[in-house]
Amino acid sequence: MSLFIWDYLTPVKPFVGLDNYANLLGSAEFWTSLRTTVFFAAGVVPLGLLSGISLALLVDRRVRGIGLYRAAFFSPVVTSGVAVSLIWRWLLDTEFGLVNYALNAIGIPSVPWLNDPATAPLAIIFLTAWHAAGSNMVIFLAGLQSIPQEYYEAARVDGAGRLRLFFSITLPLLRPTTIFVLLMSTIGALQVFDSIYVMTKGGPMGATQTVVYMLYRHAFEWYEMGFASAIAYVLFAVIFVLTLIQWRFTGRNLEIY
Amino acid sequence: MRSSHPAVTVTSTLLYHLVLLSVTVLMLTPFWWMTLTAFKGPGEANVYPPQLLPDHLDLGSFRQVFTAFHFPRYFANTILVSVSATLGGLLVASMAAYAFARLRFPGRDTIFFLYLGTMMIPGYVTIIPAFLVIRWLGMMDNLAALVVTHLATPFGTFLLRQYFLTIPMELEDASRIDGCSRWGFYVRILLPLSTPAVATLGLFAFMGNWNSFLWPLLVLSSERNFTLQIGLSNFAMEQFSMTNTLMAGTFLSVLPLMVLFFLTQKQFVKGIILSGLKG
Repeated sequence: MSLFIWDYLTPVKPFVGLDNYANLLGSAEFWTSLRTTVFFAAGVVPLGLLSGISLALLVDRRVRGIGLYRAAFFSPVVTSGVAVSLIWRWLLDTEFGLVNYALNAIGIPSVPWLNDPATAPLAIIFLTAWHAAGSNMVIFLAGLQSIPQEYYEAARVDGAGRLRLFFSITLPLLRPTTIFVLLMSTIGALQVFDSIYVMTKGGPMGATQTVVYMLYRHAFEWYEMGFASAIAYVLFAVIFVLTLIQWRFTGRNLEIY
Repeated sequence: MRSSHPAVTVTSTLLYHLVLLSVTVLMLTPFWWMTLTAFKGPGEANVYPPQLLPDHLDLGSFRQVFTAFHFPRYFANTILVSVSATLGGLLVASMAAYAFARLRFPGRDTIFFLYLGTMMIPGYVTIIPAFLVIRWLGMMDNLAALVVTHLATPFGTFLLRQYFLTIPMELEDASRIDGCSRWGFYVRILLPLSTPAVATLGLFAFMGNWNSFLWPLLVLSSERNFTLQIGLSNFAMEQFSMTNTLMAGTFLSVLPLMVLFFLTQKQFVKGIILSGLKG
């Protein structure tokens, strides 16, 4: 039911035409939020890809108990965004958090993770990547296991070493998988909400306010529905264009083996 | 699976396990720390240096979860919503899939593709209109609003339709000849045959509803209607220093899904690969 309901709320009562869009594109808050959002994506996506591939490679063995490790690595995915945020908020506590304690133990002074505009975004990036690493791993694992063993054997017969096998066989054949994870990760990373609401509320001083969070505030804290709808459409356009770019940029290399 | 390298040694296997273990520690430390904090007595969390290994297990925080945190109420709400939305969603998706796969009506395929097309629309675009509709319907602060809005699942319908298309028409024809109605065929033959697909979908729907946050946040306002996620977030904001209790509550809210996950791992993995969505 709720799927087909989209009102064109932009010219909300009274009809203001494109004023909402004009105000939006002219507001510094929007551009800062957009920059933060892109920064988040730029951090989460590579981190997610790397951790996904690494974890998948790590568990692609027929070793006893490997299922347990795979389950362990996947378990963060099952946890809710709220739970993840609360746990990490506690871990990153400036005074009593485990992270700072560990840092102190090796001589690094405590970092005010969530209270410093410079480090708060990094914290969110890291925990978002941590949260998603498991599902990336599963997808990459499927990709890895679809590579025929004959390729590796043939290459080994020709004398290829471990590293060569990886770069010349595994990586190229993982390209479709990688592209898929890349696209899905980007779309997801650009829409982070739960962690921001629970941990920082967009702070400190707007350092972690993404466009989605800005939308939330305008729509549901200040009830500026028209303006918020404009935000929604602009964000949608941005994500759409970004996805299209990614698709074009990587799509032409897709080959079916 | 990759065969082992011919020159595998004891040291390399040991090294491998060491790496596995260290990565596991990195991935699971947050959970271990949460559990540890939950099993400390209330008020014991805010100490420095933090106590790494427990010298005693205190259930005091869990007791507080039931008194100060109103866990039973939130849990009941969450279960109610999650189960209803999942069952309802599966019903709707399978019936729609059946219609799209088997029935013939004008515009069938066009409607199907339009329906699928709505999958491309990110959640936040529809959230404002959906909010207004719910308010207009007078369903604000009503748990039913959480269920109703999650009944239509284009992805679920798509998946099931594809699955149904693979089931031969002869089966249905044979059952009709034996006097079975369409509905009878659907309930007694089609659904049991589609159990794996339905189970996987149900699992993900359940998880999505259990962990859902933004939508309940917007719709629910009175505390007695809160779901677990909202309750946790609210508690964290209001009771700033009751860390142990908060961790105990978080622990209890994570536990059901964790157990479910460990029991149904294969389905989960299949589901992730099918949908590629992060839960």
